[in-house]
Amino acid sequence: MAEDAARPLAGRVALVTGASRGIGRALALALGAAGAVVACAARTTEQVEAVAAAIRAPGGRARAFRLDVTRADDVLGQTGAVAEALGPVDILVNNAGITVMRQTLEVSDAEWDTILATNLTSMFLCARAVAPAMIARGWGRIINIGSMWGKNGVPRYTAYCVSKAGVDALTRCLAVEWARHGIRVNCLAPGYMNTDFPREAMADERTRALILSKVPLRRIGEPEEVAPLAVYLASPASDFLTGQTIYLDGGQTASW
Amino acid sequence: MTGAEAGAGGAPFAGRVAVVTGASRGMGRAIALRLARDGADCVVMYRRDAARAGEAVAAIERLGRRALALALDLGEPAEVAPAFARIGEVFGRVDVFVANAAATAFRPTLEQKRHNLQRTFAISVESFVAAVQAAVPLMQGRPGRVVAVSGIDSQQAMARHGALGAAKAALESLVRVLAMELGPLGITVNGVSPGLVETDSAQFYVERGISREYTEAVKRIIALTPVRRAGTGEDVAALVAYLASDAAGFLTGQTIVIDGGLTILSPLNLMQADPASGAGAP
Repeated sequence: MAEDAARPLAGRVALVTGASRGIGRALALALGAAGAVVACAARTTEQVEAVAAAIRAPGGRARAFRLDVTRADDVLGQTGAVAEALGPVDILVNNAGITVMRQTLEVSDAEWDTILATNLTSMFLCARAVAPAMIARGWGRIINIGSMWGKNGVPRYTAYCVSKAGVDALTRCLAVEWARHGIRVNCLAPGYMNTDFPREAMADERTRALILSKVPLRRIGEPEEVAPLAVYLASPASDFLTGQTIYLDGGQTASW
Repeated sequence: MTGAEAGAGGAPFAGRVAVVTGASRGMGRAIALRLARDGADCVVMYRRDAARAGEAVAAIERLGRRALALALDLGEPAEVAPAFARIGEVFGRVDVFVANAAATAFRPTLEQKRHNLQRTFAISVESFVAAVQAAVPLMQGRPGRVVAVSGIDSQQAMARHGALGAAKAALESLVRVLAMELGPLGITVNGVSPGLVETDSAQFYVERGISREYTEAVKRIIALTPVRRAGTGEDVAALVAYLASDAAGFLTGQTIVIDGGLTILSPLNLMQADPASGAGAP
């Protein structure tokens, strides 16, 4: 294998949605460090400009893009803008996502639609937008960010759990349909990570102790710990691995 | 921590010791060589073929690492502890343990002999437990790594795979339980479950296991596999190298399927000329 071992993604163009903070930010930085040219996308550009600058600082290549993943026309337009500016997307990281904690009986139609649109339909829209160029070149990687909650019943998170279970199915379907074109599609499903969302929940000491007691490694993960797996899944080395959801959760889904 | 550290940039396993069972050939050899390339000294465990084990040792030494070939029969779990005692004497530590070896008698379950069931389970289950019991003290509080090689038959019924599939299912259960028990020590325990990987054993598995002529069967399986090829030892070794790395410290208790998409394909698609087309799917 002639690829540069330290920069296995050299020459590839990666698009990361929801790249302004948390896991998306960590993934964008890692893909950039592994040699990819990174399109850092988010709904508003202020934070994501800083992420792109952080990739450029040590000599990487990156650019910020404004992207509303819930709007099909915006997805089409902005992925086109990425291709024009940086080249066609080789690696798509579908990361953007939201959640709301609410009793199911109190979830409005609009709220349900927004969560499904942001967490699930967006991944279909982005994949549909970038896949033709991947098919044309016979190579592509799509990494969908799922959740361990995609396979659990979690009270008050119905729409979120449904959206993430949908991500698992989307991953499998795209994987088998596009495999022959050299496209690999996998889902990376984190457990409790040190990002804004669980940090709020874990501010309460009792909740924190309860959560940690259920994680065999006795800690939550750092967003940076998701990155090496994403780099592996984005690289030629993972060519035989497709359609899988890989839980990166300190052992939580494996235990009870 | 970056992806570069997880990959082969530099030597992420420098100064560490990896123990790989069934490492004289095939997938085990590919795993040992990959870990050695990434810096690890390696223990090549094998049963019979001293000449090939010696070749694996020589290949590892050519990479500038230390290597030790140890002959033992995992069908006799009592042989495991003395083997690890020897590793302790020679290397003084274990950082990565890869349980790769397996053997069974392929036949319909109604025809399985008791001694065959016992031997299958002795190798994949009893000796795995014995090896982890012996390896953990040699990890000496460091965040060690255990990786078990499972197989498709752990989750899907396959003709003549009753004994091995059951043993592999038990192995995957142990991956979860050991992840829970060793998690507080920072030790991770994971599995990899390969699909068709073309190694020396593949021919044996296909001919004895599913009773098909090898070349034809491989062609058929490749046609069914969404990525349209068989796997290689290096495919599996790259995943094992990630799981064994510091970068995978938050990933534990999982068995990762690496099969080119074979087992996620709907069985209904298998009846079509072009299985991955999805035409006629429900």
